[in-house]
Amino acid sequence: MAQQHEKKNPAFVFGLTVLLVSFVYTLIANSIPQIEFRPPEKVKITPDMGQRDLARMGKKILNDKGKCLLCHTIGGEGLRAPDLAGIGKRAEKRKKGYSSEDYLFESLYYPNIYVVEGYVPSMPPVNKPPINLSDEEIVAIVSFLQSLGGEVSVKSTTKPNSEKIGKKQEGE
Amino acid sequence: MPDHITLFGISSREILWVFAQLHLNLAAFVIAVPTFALIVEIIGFKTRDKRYDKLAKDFARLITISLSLTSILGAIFLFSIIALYPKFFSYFSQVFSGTMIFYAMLFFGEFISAYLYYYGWDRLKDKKLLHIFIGFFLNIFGIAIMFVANAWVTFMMMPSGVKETGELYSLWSAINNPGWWPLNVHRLIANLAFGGAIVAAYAASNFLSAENENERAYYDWMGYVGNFIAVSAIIPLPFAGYWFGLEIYKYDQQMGITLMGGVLSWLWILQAIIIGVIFLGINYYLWVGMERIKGAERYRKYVPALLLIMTICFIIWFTPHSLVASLEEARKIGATFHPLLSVLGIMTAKNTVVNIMILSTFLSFIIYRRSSKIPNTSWARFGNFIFFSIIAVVAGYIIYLGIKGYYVETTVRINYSMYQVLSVLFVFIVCTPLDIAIYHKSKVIGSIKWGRMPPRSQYMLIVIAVSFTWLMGLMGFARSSSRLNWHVYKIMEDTSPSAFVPSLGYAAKVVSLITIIFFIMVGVIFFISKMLEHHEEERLQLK
Repeated sequence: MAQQHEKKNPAFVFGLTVLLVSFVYTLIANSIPQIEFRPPEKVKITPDMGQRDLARMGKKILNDKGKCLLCHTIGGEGLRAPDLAGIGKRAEKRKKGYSSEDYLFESLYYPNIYVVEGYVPSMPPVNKPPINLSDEEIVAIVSFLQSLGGEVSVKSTTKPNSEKIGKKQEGE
Repeated sequence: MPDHITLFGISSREILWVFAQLHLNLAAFVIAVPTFALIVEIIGFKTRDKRYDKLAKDFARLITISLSLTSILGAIFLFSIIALYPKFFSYFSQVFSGTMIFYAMLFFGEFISAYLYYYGWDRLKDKKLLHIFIGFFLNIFGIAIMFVANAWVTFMMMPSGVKETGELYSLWSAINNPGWWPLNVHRLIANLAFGGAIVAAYAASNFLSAENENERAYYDWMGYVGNFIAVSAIIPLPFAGYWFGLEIYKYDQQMGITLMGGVLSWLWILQAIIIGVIFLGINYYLWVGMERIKGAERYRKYVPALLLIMTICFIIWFTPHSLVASLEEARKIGATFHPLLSVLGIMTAKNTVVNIMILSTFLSFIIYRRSSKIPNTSWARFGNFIFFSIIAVVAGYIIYLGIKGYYVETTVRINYSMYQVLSVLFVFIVCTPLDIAIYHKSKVIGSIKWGRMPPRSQYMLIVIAVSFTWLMGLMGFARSSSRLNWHVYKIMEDTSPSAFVPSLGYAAKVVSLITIIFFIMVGVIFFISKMLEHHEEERLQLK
């Protein structure tokens, strides 16, 4: 197998390949969906905030700072975590002796006490890093979740019932 | 003082990103080259083949130059952190002050042993074992330096040994955090693959510019050795990466989801494409390389089948779960996900094809190895039957688990992927010694005609090296971005405007810039090395 080789300049060959390969990968990277993550903005919740505004604020936190939709869906398949569509209604009867408010607060502060059947305990407490929501922000989320098919009972000044939530019941 | 400073219009984040990744690339090179040189030196010592000793020395010459350049970049990187992220550095030095002193001492050991290793090459030619011993210590120092740095990096992702407030209570726990060992193993293997790929690319560019047949033969052989070491290391590399990923999930599921299913999810499509290119490139080089081996024609009929398997696997691997579709296209499909492609885009399919790709690469390597040989053992037929039965059964098992993975819950599916990985490892552990035993004292029917390689094979070696470097940059971005806007995950938040995760397109531009600068530096290192070599030759001629 006699072969004729044309002598090449190694720096040129190498340089050109580096540029070409880098260009192709950059092109592919720019052709697929572009997603950015921005640090969450500070959210201001005032005591005089109305329930509608509070729920609206809760929706924004749920989408953004809370990163809830990384696992949950609203009207989707709920592959990693339960779908939240209609949670306001379900929360009223989900746990015996618990109001919708209590259940939702517990699900956010102590998410692994009650885990919906078919799912594994994987949610972090939202009041701790890396999510690190303030108590007021959690109230806003509860307000939004209640608005999904249920009756909104919380106000911006509502505090979770610490006597009740976070305590395991028999069978849990 | 805020952790966000702009210098000459460039944000602190970009400055640090470029310096950190360049330092990391060069550090990988500095750790890989001594390992490569030592392995080749030992092979030369055992086989008494002088070509290996020359090759090892050629690469030992690179160590001292690249070590100096890496140290300079490391110093720039360190000063950049102190100047641009003072709060972070203050906290970090409080936690890791003890290891920082140790790190500096290790550098001292690395420099001394590097100089002894290179400058002692000729003086210790009659005391080869002593020289190999020095080379061994050089590697130990290099690896220890990497391990210390890995502890810092993984602590930022998975902090341990500190209270919620960040206060240190156990330095050892901070070092021995959940990500430390997986990253140690992953980088150790990756460095070897990276070193082999760079050596092969260097040989390829010299092959293309060779003056005569002898030079071509030498650089063809060098490219083969480099590629062989790269292949040997790259085959177990995905498993080490898998282990690292598993630890991330175990430590913080949200971080795992951010990486794989959140803001960084599309990055893995690009990663799959690059790894696919590397695997296809390696296989292609082996197949083309068979053209210069007498006796290989017996195996060429299998190449199209292997190419077909690799191509199908490659396509499935980079199929995204959710397609980029216009509203009209989505309406036509009738769903967000494509009915067929979304099925191929999920993890169970991807885990299956990546394992099949690794098995196929193993097979390519086996037929390359067998090309010029005829077994002499009486039980060779039976041995081959067992050999290929094991591979067929394992491939079938991997596909079976892949299909079953669609019908079980996530928790079960995760275990399936582990079984798939273990099955492939089983093939390596059992079939490699079996192949060696079958071909023990085999009859050689033709030699390898070194230098008789088509140029296209050499271009492929360069593409593999560049792809590898680019991939390192991409993975550096992924690892760093998995922390989102936390310097130290869950402990130290960065809410400055530059603490965002940029888009993949933007990151790719930075990674390309880093890759180009890195190869310019490598070019300078090789150029200085060539000058030193000429200087040495002149000195010997004068003597």
